[in-house]
Amino acid sequence: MTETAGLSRTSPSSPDKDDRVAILEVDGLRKSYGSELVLEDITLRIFEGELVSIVGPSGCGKTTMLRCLSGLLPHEGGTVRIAGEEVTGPPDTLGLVFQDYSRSLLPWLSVADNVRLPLRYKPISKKEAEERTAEALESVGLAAHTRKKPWQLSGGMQQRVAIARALAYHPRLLLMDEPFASVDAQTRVELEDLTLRLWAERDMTIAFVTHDIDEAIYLGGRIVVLTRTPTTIREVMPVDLPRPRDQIATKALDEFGRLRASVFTALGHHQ
Amino acid sequence: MKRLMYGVVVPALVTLAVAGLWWVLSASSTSLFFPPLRDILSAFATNWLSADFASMVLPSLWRVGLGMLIGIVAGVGVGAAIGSVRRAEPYVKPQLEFMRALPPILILPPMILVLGTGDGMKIGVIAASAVWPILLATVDGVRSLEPVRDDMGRVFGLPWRARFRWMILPTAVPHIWSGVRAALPIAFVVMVASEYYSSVNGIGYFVSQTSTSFRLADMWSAVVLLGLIGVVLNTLVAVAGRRLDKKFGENAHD
Ligand SMILES: Nc1ncnc2c1ncn2[C@@H]1O[C@H](COP(=O)(O)OP(=O)(O)OP(=O)(O)O)[C@@H](O)[C@H]1O
Ligand SMILES: [Mg+2]
Repeated sequence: MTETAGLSRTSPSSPDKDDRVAILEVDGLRKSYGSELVLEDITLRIFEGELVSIVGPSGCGKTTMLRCLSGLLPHEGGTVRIAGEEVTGPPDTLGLVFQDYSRSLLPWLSVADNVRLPLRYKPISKKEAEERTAEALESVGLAAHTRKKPWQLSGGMQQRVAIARALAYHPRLLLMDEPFASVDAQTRVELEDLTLRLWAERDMTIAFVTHDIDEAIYLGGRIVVLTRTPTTIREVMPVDLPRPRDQIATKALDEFGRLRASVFTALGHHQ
Repeated sequence: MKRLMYGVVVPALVTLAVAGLWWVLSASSTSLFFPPLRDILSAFATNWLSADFASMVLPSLWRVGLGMLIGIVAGVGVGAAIGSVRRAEPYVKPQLEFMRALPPILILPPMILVLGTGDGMKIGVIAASAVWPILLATVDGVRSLEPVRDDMGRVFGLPWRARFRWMILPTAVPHIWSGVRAALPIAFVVMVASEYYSSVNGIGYFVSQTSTSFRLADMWSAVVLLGLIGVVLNTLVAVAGRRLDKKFGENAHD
């Protein structure tokens, strides 16, 4: 890989002493809409195999950040690299689960066709596309609903379709944008555990954006806390909670409570 | 049951009542211009329930049909192109609105000069009038693609043709269809007018012939026929539109 001199103005010249491989490298990312500066300076590493939670107040630019990271939105400062390659458009190592999941599904295609659609244009055989689709739908528990249309399913099931579509694409890095913000509490718990299981089973790094503190702690191995706009990174906290995690046991741990207080404080709430 | 009652029975009764009123009020009419309905209906039977139907009506339907088809193909093609190039809109939208605002009949005389008086001219004028509402509706339809959906297509690396086929086209279809519905009556008017000006057959020709030779019952029978064809075509277009909405429309679902 060739380094373009001069472009990596803000990138640190000393190599990371950590021997883990960074799949996502963000340096000095900056983005504004017109004269409104939204992202001021985002510098962040995410390593292969991690599950990182990103929390921030509502409207702080989480979706904007993910759109910049995935190459959907041009940024005006800094660099973004995924798997070592500078991002100029969406790389094919990347999957995304959208905040507005039901709109991201196509209502005129069946559940299976929604999942299969991106695979039709990948250089893989029809048979493999078929197998990946079936496997992904199976692993999110939708094998019995493949022929239905998305709008015939509940919100939680639609979100599973969106997850299956991303899984079938076999991304190395999966970005999830507040994926469970609009489902009921019970469904949310199920989908959180589904996310943990899929992450453990697969060779996949996840960056999980949420504004729910408990969800961030429950899922993440690290938590990145963002400030209000103009947004920077307030703090990165390691989460020392054992895996596999459990909705009741993990949340009952003292460490969980301590983390909750720290994230709460970092977000600017004062007790 | 209730639907059948209000959807079919009541309108049919009202129609019968109106026709009955017309029949009674015009029964003893001696006016040259408003002959009794009885005469109009018997003229209708002799003119249209006979071999004349093929020689007078089919050419008109053929012209409207082909004109609409050309209008749809050109409108959807050009509209999709304009709609996909976001930056083009400010430059071309005023011209398109200008073209749509022109009364279609206005372009008839220059078209006769350019294309002569044959079928080509008539079909051309019909297409040129029908194309605008379809084109503008297509531009709007292509524009109405959800931004999230556009993001989805790009993240998952769908090539342009796939995005067009699976995202843009289905979103645009209901819009396009409303454009077609708006274009159909315009095409009809232009068809009659173009045949009125210069023709050897067609409904417009028939109306012009009969009215200038004071065969008013015959003329009115053509008007009734035009109305009936209009109702049938509009119903067909509406039914097709509902089917398309069922297939593509999202509002029906969420
Ligand atoms: N396309 C856009 N044009 C102009 N401003 C925008 C655009 N998209 C977002 N913004 C603004 O940028 C800021 C950040 O928006 P963004 O959607 O990224 O926040 P978010 O953290 O994802 O919010 P939420 O928690 O509600 O999902 C907001 O003030 C928003 O109004
Ligand atoms: Mg958001």
